[in-house]
Amino acid sequence: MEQGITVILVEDDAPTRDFLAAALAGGEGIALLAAAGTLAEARAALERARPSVLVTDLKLPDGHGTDLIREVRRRHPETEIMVISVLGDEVTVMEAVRAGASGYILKDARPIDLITAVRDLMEGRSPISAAIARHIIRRVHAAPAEAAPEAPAAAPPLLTSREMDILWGIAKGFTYNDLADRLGISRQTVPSHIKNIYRKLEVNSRSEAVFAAVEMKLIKLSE
Amino acid sequence: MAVRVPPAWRLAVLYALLVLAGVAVAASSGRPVVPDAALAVDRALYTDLAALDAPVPADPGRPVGLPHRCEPPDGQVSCTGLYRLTFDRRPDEAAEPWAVYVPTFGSRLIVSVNGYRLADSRPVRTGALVNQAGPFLVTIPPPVLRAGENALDLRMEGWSRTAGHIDRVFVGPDAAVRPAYRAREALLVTLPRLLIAWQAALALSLLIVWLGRREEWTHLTMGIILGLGVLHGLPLFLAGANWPDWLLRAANLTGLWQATLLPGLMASLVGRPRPLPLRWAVVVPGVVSAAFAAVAADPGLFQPWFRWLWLLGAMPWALAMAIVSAGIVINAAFRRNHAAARIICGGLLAIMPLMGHDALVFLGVLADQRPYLSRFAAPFLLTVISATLMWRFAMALNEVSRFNAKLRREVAAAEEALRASFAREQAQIRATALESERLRLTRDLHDGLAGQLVSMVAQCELRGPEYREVALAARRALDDLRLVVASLDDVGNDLAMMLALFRERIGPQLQAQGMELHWRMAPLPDVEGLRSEHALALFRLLQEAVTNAVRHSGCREVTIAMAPAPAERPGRAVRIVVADRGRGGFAERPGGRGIANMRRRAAVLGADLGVESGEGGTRITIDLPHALPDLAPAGDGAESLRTA
Repeated sequence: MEQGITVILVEDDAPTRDFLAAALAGGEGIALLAAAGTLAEARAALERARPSVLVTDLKLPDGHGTDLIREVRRRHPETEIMVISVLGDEVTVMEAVRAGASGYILKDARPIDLITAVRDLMEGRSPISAAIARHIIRRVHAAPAEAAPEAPAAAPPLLTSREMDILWGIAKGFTYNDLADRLGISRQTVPSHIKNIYRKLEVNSRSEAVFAAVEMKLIKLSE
Repeated sequence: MAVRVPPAWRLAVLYALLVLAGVAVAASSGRPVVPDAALAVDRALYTDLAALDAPVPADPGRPVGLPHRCEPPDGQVSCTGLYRLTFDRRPDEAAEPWAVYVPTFGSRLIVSVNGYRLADSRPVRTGALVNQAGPFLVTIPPPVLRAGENALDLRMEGWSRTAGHIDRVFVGPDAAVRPAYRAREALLVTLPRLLIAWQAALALSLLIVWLGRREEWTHLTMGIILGLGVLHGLPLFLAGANWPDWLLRAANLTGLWQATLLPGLMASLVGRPRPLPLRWAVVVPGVVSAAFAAVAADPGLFQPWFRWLWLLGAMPWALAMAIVSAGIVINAAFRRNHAAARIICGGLLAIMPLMGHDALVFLGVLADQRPYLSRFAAPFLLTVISATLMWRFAMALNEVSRFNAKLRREVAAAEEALRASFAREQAQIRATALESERLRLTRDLHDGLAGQLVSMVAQCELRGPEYREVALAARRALDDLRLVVASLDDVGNDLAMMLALFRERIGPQLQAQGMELHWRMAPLPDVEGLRSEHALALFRLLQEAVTNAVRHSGCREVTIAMAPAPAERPGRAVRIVVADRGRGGFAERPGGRGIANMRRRAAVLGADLGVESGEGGTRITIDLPHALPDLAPAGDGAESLRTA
């Protein structure tokens, strides 16, 4: 198999798993190595093979997907991780991102969307929704003020101003095209920035503590 | 001090005018009105008398000119003498009543004509006050009057050097001299009495202020000083009563006490420390008063001593106190721009000419017939000071009112801030509650209903095309569920953020149906009162519009454009346009439930809905107001998912 994308799928709901597996298998240049229904099966499959992409649900009958994500991030850093979310809500997505995922898809995604998402991820592009963008902005805005008293040595800013601009634009409903025009970047680089942002939000990264410290608090965005 | 300070030049002009007024008063009020048709007698024969009632001495006396001031014999203070005057009455003159008019005298006068004792001043005019000389009018009964030369004997008693004097004497028809007497009386008798009453009223009001506000020492001191002024004037009202002379004369001491209190008053008025503690200040007036009492007990023994005490103790002391007071006032007025002090300075300036006048009279430079004017100076100055005090009091009340108003404003502002902070806190709590509820709901839907729908979709998809309808329905249910979840998101008043959520929902749906979405977002103003109900109503309205385009336009593109409302739509904040380039005909479609639904949702949003459907396609315009209507909790149960 020449330079194909190898995928391991973890999803506990059998019909959904079958549907997603079928969708992935139908993708050109995508090889589905395994489709697991439990954490244990997934671990076993990962022992056998190193996929280029892990597509996993978070809620599994014998454990939580975030554990799997963390393990894979530690043991197979080159594997891209994508979480399956029913609603694409920021709770699920951020949970996965902080564990180390860099993409998400909706569970009912049409096959074509699923394949596009996997390819994008392999090319370093991560998806983001307005709600997630807003969620990240909130946390990042809250972080410096919260962290300042304990960290006078000034941790480097969590996100660059360019990254913040992108998040604001997405939260405000601008298209990637609009955003790229406004910021003077190419349309294709916007999702690459998103992936960088996700990387920075991963709990293992150095800004993790700051972000985690404020994660539990709800701070209004406006004001 | 709240009294407005006038600019320097205005002050200077004002002061100059006051001085001029003082000079005018001093110049005009001294000289008596000379009755026209009366004889002016300015020569007399003077003899010292041992006592006022002593028999007429054989010695005709020495000639003196009138006005005359008697000289007490060596070692004595008082003088008593007999002035023998003569006047002619022509026989042809009508037999009208005549009168003797003395413009000024001191201290006591007994008038006899042709040996008939006609009048004694004592019952009608007090001689107790040294600076209160007044006029005297005696009617001569016609039988007493002779044709030709008449003898007029005036027995005069002056109990002090300054008191023992007599002015020129006028004799003539009563009708001719009485007006002159009246004018003199008005100035020297009636006016001082009025001033006493005036001071009494002022004293009373100041003391009442002090009673109501004990810390107002200035008012108390001023009240006492005014009260002393009233005491000083009391003998004016007591003439003829059987009061011992010495008691009436004690009124002369009040000036000394007034002078003693003055520096303290001025100091407290201008807010400076008292120059001399009160217990030291009262030493001199105390000693003088005690000495005065001793004199009353034994005049013969103590009177000579008292005279020196008065001249060398009391007078310089009073003068010093007056100078110190003036110094305090002037210092405050010009070094510290004290407004009240400046007003009092004006008063001081106005009385300066009067004091100068009296000094000249005392020194004999001015003719002796002039009465002392300082008697008006003190009440005038006291009135000025009292007026200043009352003005200051009124200003202080104004200040209090202003302060109260300020305080009220500040309290109101603080309350407002507190209320705002409380409201913010409430909003925060509400937002937090909403957020946690939304998260809970999302999690529940994610794990339950939504998961089931997804499973349904998956099963249908796996089973082939015959299940497409079910799959579609399940997907629609899932889409709507996502819209509901999205509408619960708290974005404040940021409509753009809310619309961004819609785009994420509608985008994939359109793509799945092979439609292209042109999403045009311009920076949008905030829309007040944006809540989940509004968001959901707007989402469904847009969904309806988009669904319509998908189903009926026959075109593969739909544009959603969001921008600030055009200027010709005042009161509208945002315009959202859903447009296609299809075949139109949207409005006319029979059984158009879609448009009714859309109108209903637009009404919920307080938005104007515009539908243009024709050859060029369909264009649905939604103009949103700046503030969305507050929806009643039970308004549209189907639409609302209220948690707050």
